[in-house]
Amino acid sequence: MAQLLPIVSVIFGGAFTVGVSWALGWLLLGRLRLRFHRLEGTLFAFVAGSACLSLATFVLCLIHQARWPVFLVGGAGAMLWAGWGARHDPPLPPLAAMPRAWRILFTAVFAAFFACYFFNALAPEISPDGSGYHLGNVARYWRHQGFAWDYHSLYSSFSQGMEMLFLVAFCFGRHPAAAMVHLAFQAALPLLMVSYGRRFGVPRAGAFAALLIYACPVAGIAGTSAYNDLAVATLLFAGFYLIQVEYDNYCYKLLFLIGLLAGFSYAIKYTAGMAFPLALGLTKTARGLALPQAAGSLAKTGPSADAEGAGAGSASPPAADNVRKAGPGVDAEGVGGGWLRRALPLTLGAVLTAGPWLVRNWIWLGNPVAPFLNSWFPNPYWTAASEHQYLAGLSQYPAFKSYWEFIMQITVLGGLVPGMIGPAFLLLPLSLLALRHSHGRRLLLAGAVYAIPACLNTEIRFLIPALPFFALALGLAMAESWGALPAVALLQALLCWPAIMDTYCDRNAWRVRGFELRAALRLEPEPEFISSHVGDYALKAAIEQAVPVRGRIFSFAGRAAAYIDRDIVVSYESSQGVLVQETLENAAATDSGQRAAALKVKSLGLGYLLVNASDAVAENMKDHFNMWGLTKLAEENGTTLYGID
Amino acid sequence: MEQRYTVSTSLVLAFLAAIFAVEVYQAATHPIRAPEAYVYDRFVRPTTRQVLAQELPNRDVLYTLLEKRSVGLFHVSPFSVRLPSLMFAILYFRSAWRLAQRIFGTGWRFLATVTLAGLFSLWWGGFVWAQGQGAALALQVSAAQLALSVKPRNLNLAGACLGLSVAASLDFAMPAAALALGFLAVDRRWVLWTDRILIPATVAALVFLVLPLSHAHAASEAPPDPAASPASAIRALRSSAGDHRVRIGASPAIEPILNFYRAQHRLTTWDRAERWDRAGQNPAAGDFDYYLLTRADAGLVDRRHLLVLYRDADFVLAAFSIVEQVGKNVKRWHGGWPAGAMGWIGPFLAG
Repeated sequence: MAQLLPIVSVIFGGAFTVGVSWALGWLLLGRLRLRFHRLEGTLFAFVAGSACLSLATFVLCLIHQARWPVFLVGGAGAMLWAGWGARHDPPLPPLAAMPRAWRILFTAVFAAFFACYFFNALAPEISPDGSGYHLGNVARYWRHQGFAWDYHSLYSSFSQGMEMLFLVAFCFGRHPAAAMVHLAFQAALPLLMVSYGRRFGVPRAGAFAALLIYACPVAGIAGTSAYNDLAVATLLFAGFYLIQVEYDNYCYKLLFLIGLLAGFSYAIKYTAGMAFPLALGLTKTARGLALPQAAGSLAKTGPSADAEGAGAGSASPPAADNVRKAGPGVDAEGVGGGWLRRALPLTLGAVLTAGPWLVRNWIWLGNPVAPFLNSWFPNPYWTAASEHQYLAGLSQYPAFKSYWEFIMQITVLGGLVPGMIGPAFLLLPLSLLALRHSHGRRLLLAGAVYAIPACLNTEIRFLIPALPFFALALGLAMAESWGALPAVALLQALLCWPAIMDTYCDRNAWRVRGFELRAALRLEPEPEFISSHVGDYALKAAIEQAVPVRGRIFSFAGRAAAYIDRDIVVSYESSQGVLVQETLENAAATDSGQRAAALKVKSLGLGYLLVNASDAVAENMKDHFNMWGLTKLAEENGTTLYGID
Repeated sequence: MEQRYTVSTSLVLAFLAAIFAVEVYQAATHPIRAPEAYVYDRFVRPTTRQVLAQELPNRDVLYTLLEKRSVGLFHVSPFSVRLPSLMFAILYFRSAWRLAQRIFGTGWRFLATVTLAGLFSLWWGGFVWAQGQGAALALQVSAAQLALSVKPRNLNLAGACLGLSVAASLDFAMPAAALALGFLAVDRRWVLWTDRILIPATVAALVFLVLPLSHAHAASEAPPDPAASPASAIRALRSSAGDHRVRIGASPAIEPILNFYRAQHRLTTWDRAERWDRAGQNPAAGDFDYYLLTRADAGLVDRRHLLVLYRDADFVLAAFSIVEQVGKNVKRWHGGWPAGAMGWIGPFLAG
């Protein structure tokens, strides 16, 4: 029974956060009087509500009331309110049906992968960034019941929209509960894509793209970890979806919702900041340039609208109660006065969710977009030179023998770039054929815009936000080729199944490796499982015993901060870290002044050092620890904990 | 009602049947060739996991998969590895027949075309050997025939056949592209062409090639075909080795044939034959009980003082002889140690 408790708490933490998000979303959609079809209404309620919950948690963190009783009472209240408010609502109409064969195929593949992902998310969190800074920040907020203003790191200065949701789940179910929240976004994305296909008359393309994305290996592992990439992808796609709905039906409340999601995307990840200008551009284009052919465009020009029977006509959306149909008048004022009228609600929504993070950083760090643009906003926590060095490091691809090897690495092998997107994406050039359709053009534009961050960061998960758009465009392009869509979808599903991936991909590729049932059901003790994957976990007990609660540790390398209940200052994460690193390395390089360097570090409030055997100072400290004035407190897996005397 | 078989079509049918019978006979009786044995040994015999783990490019992916199925059903033999080729011969004859019929009707031009197609297959021999070229040709002829048919869905099949032909043999990628462009040039309907030819062809090829493509950049070690069959030399080896556990070194051109023979006859006491690397890039090679060498590698016999057991115009079978080695090394010892001789005699002196 005691063994079940952590499992129940994890599931409760994740489900509660998702439930509260959903309830807040229904309340918001109700207030805005926006009505959608049944499935899409549920999904939009979840994503919009998650923005509301994140904002509410932000406020609680500001006033240091981010505690589980507050979350429990507030969340339960929101759910009751939403349930009470919805008791007399008429049922929402269903979307146009998906072809039976596709329904079976999609359900089977989705269920199989969901089961696999569920158990992976349920297992203790071991992902590098999840156990590092994502949940490291969350654990710190949890300890402080709000923001920790005296801790400065580039990772804590990023916007933390997703971490706010993680915090709610973390309070009840600790680390894996946060992964459960991300799992919900991961499941919502393919369902949104299916809805998109059904609403716009291309159900087969929608289901095809959804399967491609859900089976995608890098999306699989990122979605089951406490990361934020799948949440960003889901929000960006939901925003794009709403823009397409707004194409046919002008509605300022819908624009507000689009802005809210765009702003929340930024609040989760800076790279998603492009959602707002894209939304602005696309809605402008909708009115000013493309409306004449946009209205019902796919039904006219799309490849499958007629062929699939369930065309856009039969799926005509309720959209919004107060929708004013786009008429010739709107068309005429498109680029002029109408532009401002559309931009305002969009901006208002974005400011509401992105604004708090900009303001927080401006007041706290003197840089609204910290840790970037430090030359524009000089501050004591991070310098322009360090920023440049950091960004250069992110965009450094390993040496490839050829472009061919690069393509195979990101699609099939995934060893040199961390993770891969799946073999079916080798067909991506065919998605250019979707340029024939107006929907295809918009999808490709959005995909191209959201792929820009992948050029600046070599981690393949930065491609995830662009993939749903490319996958849908590919589906549109291939929709008229008999048998092509199911063949490719099945190929992706089969080849991306964990047991099959083992046969061909690089063994170091970042991916889901199996069901992890023993770890998920806690048949394998949690500490054993974590320490077998997270090297730093072995030092947890020693650190928490030797270092006082308010004590701080300096480390040259990033650490599993989520599992170590002490603040760790990492060398490359702040100006202070860089200063300490230089001080220690200079002393070690000249083999003189070690004691003075150690005392200087201690005077900065860092009384402990975590040193890897590969660090530049490691040998010198090991051989001359007396000269440094250090006491060796613990050593595990090649990492030594020193105390400065 | 039109008569289904005229005299001319019956004649052609009989002619094609005769050609096919000859090809079946050849497939059953010809000894295995080095490229066929190589494909079997590197891509058919190992498990899928082992195949994907080795850095070797496979140019006949679809054929390899079919060969695996055939070997699984009928055990390893020259005929079983060639069986898929023979099946594609039937497809080739059928497609050529229908293509000629579609273009020329059933007159003398039809007769001549099908006869030539049949003779070409006999001369070329692509449907006799266990390689993908025959399959690829059959699929491309089939694609052309389907593209010219009146049913719209057949266009999809034509596209798929083009893709499969590339999967059957990568050498046919350019002809497949040319054929696809030819369809476009004839029909000139871009959208129809992309939907019915380009996409099915690409998808069909990708389904089979997606994983092998990850090894496309690797260097091939496919051997040249030896001048003649080493069957006699292998028989001599078998009679000499008996039931003893033996290690065999072979010239690159013979090594896959030897391993094929070993699998065919389930010679479990033979270790897998290894390549004796003439360039000296495999320093481990050398300590074998038997050496089966081509004429080009026969110099090894003198250099290593091997005992020749069998020799013909093309091959040499030699064995490591303890008596020979000790005798020769002691004889040389009187005139000074030859370089590396201690490596030969050392173990005996120490033992």
